[in-house]
Amino acid sequence: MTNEARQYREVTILFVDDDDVDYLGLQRALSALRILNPVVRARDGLEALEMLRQPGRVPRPFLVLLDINMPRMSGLEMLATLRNDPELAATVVFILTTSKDEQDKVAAYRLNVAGYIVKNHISAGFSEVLGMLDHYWRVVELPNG
Amino acid sequence: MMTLLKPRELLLHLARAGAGAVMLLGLSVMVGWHLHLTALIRVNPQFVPMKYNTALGLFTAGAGLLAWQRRRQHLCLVLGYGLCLLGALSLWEIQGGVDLGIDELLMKAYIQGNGGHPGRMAPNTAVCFILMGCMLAAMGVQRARRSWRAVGLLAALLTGLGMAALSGYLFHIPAAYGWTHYTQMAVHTAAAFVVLGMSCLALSHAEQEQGARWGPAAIGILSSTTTLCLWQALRLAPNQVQATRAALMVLAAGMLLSLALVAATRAGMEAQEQSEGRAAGLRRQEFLNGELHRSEEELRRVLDSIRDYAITQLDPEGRMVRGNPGFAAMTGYQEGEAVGLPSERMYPPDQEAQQQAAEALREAAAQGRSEQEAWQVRKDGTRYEANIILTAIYDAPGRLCGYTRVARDITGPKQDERRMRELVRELQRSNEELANFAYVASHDLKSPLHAVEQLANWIGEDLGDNLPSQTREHMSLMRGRIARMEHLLNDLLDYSRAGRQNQATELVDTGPLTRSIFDYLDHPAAVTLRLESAMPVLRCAHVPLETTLRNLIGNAIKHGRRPDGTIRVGAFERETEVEFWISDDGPGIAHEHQERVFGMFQTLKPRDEVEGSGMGLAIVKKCVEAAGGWIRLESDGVHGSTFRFGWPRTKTLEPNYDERSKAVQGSHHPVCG
Repeated sequence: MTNEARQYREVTILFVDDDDVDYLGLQRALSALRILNPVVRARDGLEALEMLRQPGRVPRPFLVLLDINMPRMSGLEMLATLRNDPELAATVVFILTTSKDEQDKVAAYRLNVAGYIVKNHISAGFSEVLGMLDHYWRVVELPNG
Repeated sequence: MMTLLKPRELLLHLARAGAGAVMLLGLSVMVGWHLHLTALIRVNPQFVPMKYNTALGLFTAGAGLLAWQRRRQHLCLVLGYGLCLLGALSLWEIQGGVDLGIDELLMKAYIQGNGGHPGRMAPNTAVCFILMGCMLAAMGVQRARRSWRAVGLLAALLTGLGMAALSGYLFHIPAAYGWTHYTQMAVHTAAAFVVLGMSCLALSHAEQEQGARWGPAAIGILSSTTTLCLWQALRLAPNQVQATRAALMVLAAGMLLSLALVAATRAGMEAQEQSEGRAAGLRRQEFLNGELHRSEEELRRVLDSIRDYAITQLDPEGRMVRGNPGFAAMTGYQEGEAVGLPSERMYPPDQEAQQQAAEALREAAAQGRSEQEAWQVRKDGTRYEANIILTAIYDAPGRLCGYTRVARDITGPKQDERRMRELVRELQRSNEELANFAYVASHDLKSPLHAVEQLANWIGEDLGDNLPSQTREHMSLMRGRIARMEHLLNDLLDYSRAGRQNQATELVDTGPLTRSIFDYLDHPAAVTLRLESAMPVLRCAHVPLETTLRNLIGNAIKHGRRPDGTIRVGAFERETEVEFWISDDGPGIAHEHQERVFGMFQTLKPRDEVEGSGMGLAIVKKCVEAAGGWIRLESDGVHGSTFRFGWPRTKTLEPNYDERSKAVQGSHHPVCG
């Protein structure tokens, strides 16, 4: 973690999940790892899209942690809509779901997710995910727009 | 009282009588010769005596005829030859002027006629005997060579000669019965020959199988012979002028008479033939009519006996002509009630049904046959479903002359069919629902479970070591139960998918597959897998087979008693399936539990002792049965268990050596713990 002279802007996490316990889990992990990145929470795909389209609601740069099974609009539906929206098409999305279904996986990767993570496999809550993301946004350049 | 004899029988009787009479005559003359009874020998002192040989010959002739009538054909033949010989020898004597010594062989001729050698018969007598002998011979031969025509014609000739001689006696023309200076034929000899000739004629007419076509010819020969002989005789008469004229008159008259007789006989015969032909024709007609009636009766009986099919005959417009009892039973229209009804009346009155009726007739008329299933209406208005087959009937020139309609009541079977289809649909729906339910349930149940798991973890983390040991234990138990629930849900999900997964068929090399399954499963290091037979390559759905093997081998590992135990696996190839077996050395499964183990969520040990969802075998069973195979458990409850299952081959293709190398060797899916 070298502080280089480069444009370093904190990445916002847009957490799209209807499960409150999972959100709690995320917050716990963030505080445990002392990650201070801003988090925006949406309860389902529709709300997430609304938020993304409101200017300033979700600070850029950002990435999305997306659950699949949600009411009103599922994660994959939202993802499809995202990819169809020219403004949001380039969004970096990680699927974070309980579903181990091969079909869901294939569908997600077809819609160009950055990664597919299954919640059940995490024994230490969200720590591993956040650990990975922490590395991720330090190593990988995200578009600022 | 008088029994009418058939003409044939009458003729036979006459023949027999004639033969008998001649025989008697011959015998009596012979007796006369022996007993010196001159009256028998010569009827009148002025008449010519009958010679002994002649008498003997007549006796033989009569005997021969009788013998034939008594079916002694061989005797008849012999007698015939004898007579011929007698006649021929005598004639030879006369013509050749030799003496063969036969004339007085048997009897001294103490009475003589005028002229000729003593005892020698007249030449015409000899000729007649030759003729007679030939006739007897002709009768006596084999049936196949017998010619009644020959006999008949010869008989006519004989009769003619006899008649000539007789009429010579009648009209005092000695030349008719005595040829030149030789011995003359006696009167009773002549009469005898006439009788013999007529008897033979009668006999041959009776015996001739298809009517004596030679009849007219015979008559002709008879009368012409007589005429000619008389004519000749007259010509030789002493009184020249008178004789010539008389001769010519006789000739003319005689020939005319002959012709007339011939014509008459022929006409008569033809008339008889015609009437006989007509009678025969009538009889034939009657017979055929009888046959026709009989076969119609039979047919009617057959049709009447059919009760399950309504068989009706329709006219070319489709109206009913007649129906069998089966029709009455099916529709309620009794005998004759439905005559003239159009076939449309059998159908319900709505437009569609009526069109159906018309369509059936049209199709039958065009194609020769139509078959349809349609609702029908009985006389009382009730409905039933029928299978109706219409067949068009054509007469000889190819015109449509009606239809045959065969209907079968299929209401019952149709209902069954519908019910079954409904049941199948219900079943399919039910299955779908169940599958969906299992999937959705396990999916949606996982979510709150996951949350509980997380919260439990956090509680544990936050409290850290500030836990009384009991609470710590409770926490531990809680975590365990949560894990178990997740495991159960996962297995439930697997179960719902089992048998419905990817059914793609491939060539599967089961040996390496089993090995790789074993290697990827968690097992104590010392536990080994041993393949106890050649493991086949077979073409089948790969995923379900792998699931099955994985679960069974996993079970075997889990229930093994010894840390260095062995799991034995083998296979046995059959034509349509492969039988696999997996043996472990665990505690086995007692008989009373063997049924239960294949049920859902069934475990034999408490889950606290051995962690297991109890779904493994249920999944195995589902996979195996969905593939069309079978599974069996063999265990004595002490010495381990052997699971046997049969996996059907998808196709009975023998993989060749090259294909073996292409077969699937390992598991496609990483095994999740």
